[in-house]
Amino acid sequence: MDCMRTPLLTSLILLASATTAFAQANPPPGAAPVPPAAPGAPATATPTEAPVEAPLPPAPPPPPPTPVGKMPPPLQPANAPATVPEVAEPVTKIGVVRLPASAYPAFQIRGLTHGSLWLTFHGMQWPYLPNLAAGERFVIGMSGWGWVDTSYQKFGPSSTDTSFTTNNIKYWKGQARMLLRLTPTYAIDSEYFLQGQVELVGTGDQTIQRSEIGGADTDDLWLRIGKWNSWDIQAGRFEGWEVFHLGMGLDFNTFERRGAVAPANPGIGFYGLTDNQFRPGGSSTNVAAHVYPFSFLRFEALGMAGTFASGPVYAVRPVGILDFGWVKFKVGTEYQKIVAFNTNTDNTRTTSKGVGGALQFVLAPHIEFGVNAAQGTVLDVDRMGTLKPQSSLTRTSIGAFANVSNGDPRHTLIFGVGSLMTWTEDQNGIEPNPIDKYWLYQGFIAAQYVIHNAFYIKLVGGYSKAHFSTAGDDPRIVYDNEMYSARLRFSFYF
Amino acid sequence: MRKASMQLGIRIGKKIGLVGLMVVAIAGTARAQDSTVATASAPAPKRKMHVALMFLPMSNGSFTAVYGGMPATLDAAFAPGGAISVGWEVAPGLTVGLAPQLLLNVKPKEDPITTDPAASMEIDAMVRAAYAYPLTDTIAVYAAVLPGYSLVKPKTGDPAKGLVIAGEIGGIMNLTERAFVSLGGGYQKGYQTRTDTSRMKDMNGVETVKMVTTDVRPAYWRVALGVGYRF
Repeated sequence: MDCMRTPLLTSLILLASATTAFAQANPPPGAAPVPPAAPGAPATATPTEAPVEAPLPPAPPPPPPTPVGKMPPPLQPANAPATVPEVAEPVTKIGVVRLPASAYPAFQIRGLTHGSLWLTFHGMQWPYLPNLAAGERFVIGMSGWGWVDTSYQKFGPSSTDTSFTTNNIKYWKGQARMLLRLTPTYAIDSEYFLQGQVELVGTGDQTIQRSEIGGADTDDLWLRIGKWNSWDIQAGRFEGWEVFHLGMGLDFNTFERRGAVAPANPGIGFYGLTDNQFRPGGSSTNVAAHVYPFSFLRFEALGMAGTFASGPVYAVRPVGILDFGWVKFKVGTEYQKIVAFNTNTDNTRTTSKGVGGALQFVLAPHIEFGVNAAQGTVLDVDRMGTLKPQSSLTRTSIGAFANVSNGDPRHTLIFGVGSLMTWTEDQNGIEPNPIDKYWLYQGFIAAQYVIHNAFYIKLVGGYSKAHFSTAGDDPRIVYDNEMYSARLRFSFYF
Repeated sequence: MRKASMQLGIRIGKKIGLVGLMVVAIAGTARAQDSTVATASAPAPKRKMHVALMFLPMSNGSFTAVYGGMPATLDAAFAPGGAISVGWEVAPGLTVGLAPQLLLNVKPKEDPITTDPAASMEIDAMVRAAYAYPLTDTIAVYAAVLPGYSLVKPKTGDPAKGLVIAGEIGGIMNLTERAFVSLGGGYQKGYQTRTDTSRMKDMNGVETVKMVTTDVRPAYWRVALGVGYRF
């Protein structure tokens, strides 16, 4: 990580000085008044953060009157000349900083450097921007990442799949996404902080959703208050802690993630305690409390409320992570309920529940691997209050992954493999309605090379097979679909 | 008295332990220095032989066979397999060896005659010649050619036999001086045939015996993920 975020603390521009009007704040309680500057000498603040590479800007013009509430008058020596200008109190230091290595916490090792586990934070507070000096500090962290995918898929539906008339269907797909992450962080002191984050996204298709505007969008958009390594409260749009880890393949918006499932097929997709993990859609908001009783133990209690297209929704998703670095154990559960807009006349509701866990091992610098399992149910009730057994499902996924690295800090090469199996069946078991059963296998092999600790080149080959056994109509329709895919991804983390 | 002697014993024990630790530490340091000298003076031995276990997912292939007297080439089902590779470096970068492999689930994805065709097993006795070019201390790229002889053994009946050839390019990652992992991809094509005896009697009761040769030829895109060790 140190290498990735090399101390290109690109321009920590301390605009801190009594002569700067960008921001003003009260000094720490109890701080002694600052003596006035000598005539003609600009007042300066002593930078106490990390070393500043960029030169300080030229001395700005004299300060305007202090806009901050009641400030004590500066202490005037008895023999001071009457013409000495009044100088504003210094000052909260403002920094615009590319997130340093220390902003990506690794109190326990996250994973093999540049591997898939390493790119996960396992619940640690991130971006981690404490003020190591006494007093206040305001810093805007900048970071981000972007990727460009070129992928190929050969989809082979079964000849008995009634959704298709051709045997093999081939696709080429190009996808791209880049985001700039801005993280304003206000350090109240060395422990307490206020933080916000917005991720400004540029998209290249990705089968556009989220209002289908194709333009400006956001991923994260949250505010947080807390104490480093102790607790925080977070609200907004963000992801819950990951439990089910997929490895170096099966990325979002990819062929291998979707598997051998065509839009016309019955829906089946992996379940990994994921109903409420990802950023919520619609006009809904997450609120989460995070507690860190020990450096190796973390808890998240995530709640979500808002409105989806189908109606008002609320959810909870508590997760615990026991992390000793070389071994990590994650477990969680979730509950989500969507109800009708008018519950007086409409009993429609969908209730989703689930539980999942993961066990991961990091044998640095060469090997990491893990296993996951999760099961969730969906109960679908119609407006009369009657259970709809055909759309009430039980979903089960198990998966495993392994990554191997050469451990070379200059020329990092990682091979990764992974497998994922998902079963879905409905609750339509009362005769003569036989149960619909589907399963989906997804596997991948990946190779990744990293240039200059920031630019990732990843090649992923995927294979998937889906089995459908549907019995909505008699006789039962049974068929298998198959998919091969290859994907080349360029990623840039900054 | 006993307590005092125990305390003394503990003190003595502590001292002895401390001395012992120092001796061990000094010896360890000396040994470390020796090994450092030895490492610096003697070049690492050249490892010429390697053994690797390979996982071979064979995918996106074709299966040529005769169905009801009509030859047809169909999509092949996904065929997982494995191999063991033993090689000897005969020149810098050039390795020659054997790489026998076994493939399972060798069959067409969908059989035009039966809904669930029985899978065959393919056994390939292959020679492997590979050239590896190091890019860094821990990374090399390689190209390999694997000619061989193959049996496609059905669940019942006689096997198809014939030549098989595969080509592969990929990368090798050194984990230690001896251990390595490799990942490559390529194509494999078989030229197996099966000869059946056909006996037919005419109206006069005269039996005609004919030898009928049919193709049973799987071809695959192959991926080879290996873990190996040098000796």
